[in-house]
Amino acid sequence: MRKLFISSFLFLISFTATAHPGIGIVKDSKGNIFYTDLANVWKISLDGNKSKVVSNVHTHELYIDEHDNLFGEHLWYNGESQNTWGHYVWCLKNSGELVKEINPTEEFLSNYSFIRDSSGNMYWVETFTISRIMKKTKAGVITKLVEGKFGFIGWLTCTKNSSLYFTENNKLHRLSPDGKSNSYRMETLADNISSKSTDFSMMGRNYDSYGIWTDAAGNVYLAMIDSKKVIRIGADGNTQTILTSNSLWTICSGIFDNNGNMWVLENSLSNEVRARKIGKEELAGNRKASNFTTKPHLFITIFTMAGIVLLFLGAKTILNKRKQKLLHFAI
Amino acid sequence: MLYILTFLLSWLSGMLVILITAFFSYDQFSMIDIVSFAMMTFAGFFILFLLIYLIVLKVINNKIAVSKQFIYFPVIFSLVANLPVYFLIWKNTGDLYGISEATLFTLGFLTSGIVFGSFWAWKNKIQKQTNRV
Repeated sequence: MRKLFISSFLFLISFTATAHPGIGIVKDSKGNIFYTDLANVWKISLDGNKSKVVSNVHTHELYIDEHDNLFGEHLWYNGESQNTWGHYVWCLKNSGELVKEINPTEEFLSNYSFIRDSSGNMYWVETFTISRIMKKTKAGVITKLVEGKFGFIGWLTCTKNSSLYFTENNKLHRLSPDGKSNSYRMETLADNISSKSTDFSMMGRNYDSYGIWTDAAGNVYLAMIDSKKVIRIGADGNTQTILTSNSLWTICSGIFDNNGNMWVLENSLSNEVRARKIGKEELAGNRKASNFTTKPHLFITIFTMAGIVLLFLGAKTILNKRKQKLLHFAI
Repeated sequence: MLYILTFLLSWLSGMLVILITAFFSYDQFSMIDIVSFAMMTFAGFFILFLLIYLIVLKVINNKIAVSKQFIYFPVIFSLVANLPVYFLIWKNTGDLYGISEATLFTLGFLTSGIVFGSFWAWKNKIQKQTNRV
């Protein structure tokens, strides 16, 4: 707690504010991209036009079904006097009509999720001493897929064939149907996905990986929130850095469009949100993925060196003046 | 004036070592890290400078021969005068920061001590030469 407090203080004085960034970025059947900036939901059309489609909703996640109906939530805090939370789930129909899927309710969303497979089954994590990954069918039947003493479990993602991917501390796991009745098999795909960052950057968090998504080839992509990069974990467990964001923006999540381009959801130091397209040529490795465009670390190191030289020259000048003064006095 | 310059020179030298070491230690050394290290080392070194360095300097300045100051001053300031800081760094490791951050803090203060000691030894040498003339 103390560590968190001090880190938070340092964080505030550095004029930055990154709370709990959203990961909601989805595409519809036509290839339009939708993303959340935690206040509104935006649509980027195929022609590149950006428009607001849902206003004043604080949603971290989004889901779009096969009929292009867009789902999200609105979460709010009722103030310190009540110290309660409330939520509702909304749906933007493909006709453009905005309806409430779940009416305003106290507390957080439960037994409901925006992580769904092509059959409409929902998946979520219940984190406690013993953590569980749960499934709810379209008919409303809730089952437990796996339970155990896990470390910190990050966001989930689900492929069309009901394979779930999630991170637990520095490990990446896959939970997939084993073909026998309703049972699932869990396997660890990678066990060292952390990156080296300072405790000040981590700010008391016990995770580095954030948004998680997959491509058609079965590779898994992880947004590493501290090291500001995206890593790709192949089916063989090989980890590769494929993209880095500049120091002012942090990649939080991503998705592939119908043309194989990757769209990343990025948060800025001042809590702005943007969706950026990374061309498939860039991802294919034919040319180097965009690197840091600004390097404050490098600039500040150079300025520090210059400062030392100036201070040293200043001190030398003072000493020389004193020397001359003394000599002049002696003469 | 010279005291202020020495203070800034020593602190900046410590920061430079932290910044350079961080290039090899971390994947990403963000503005948050730089501000955190800068503020904590500045505040720590400021207190150390006022409470210990100036007193130690006053005590040892005339007791150690100028010819030996280039060895003794950096050693005394970087090891002996910095002892309270090293203790605090060690005590708070794992609580306020991790081992790698503690190592950087230690390297920073070690460098500041060496630079401070060397600077005053150099200054005394120049003064001695002037006095001789």
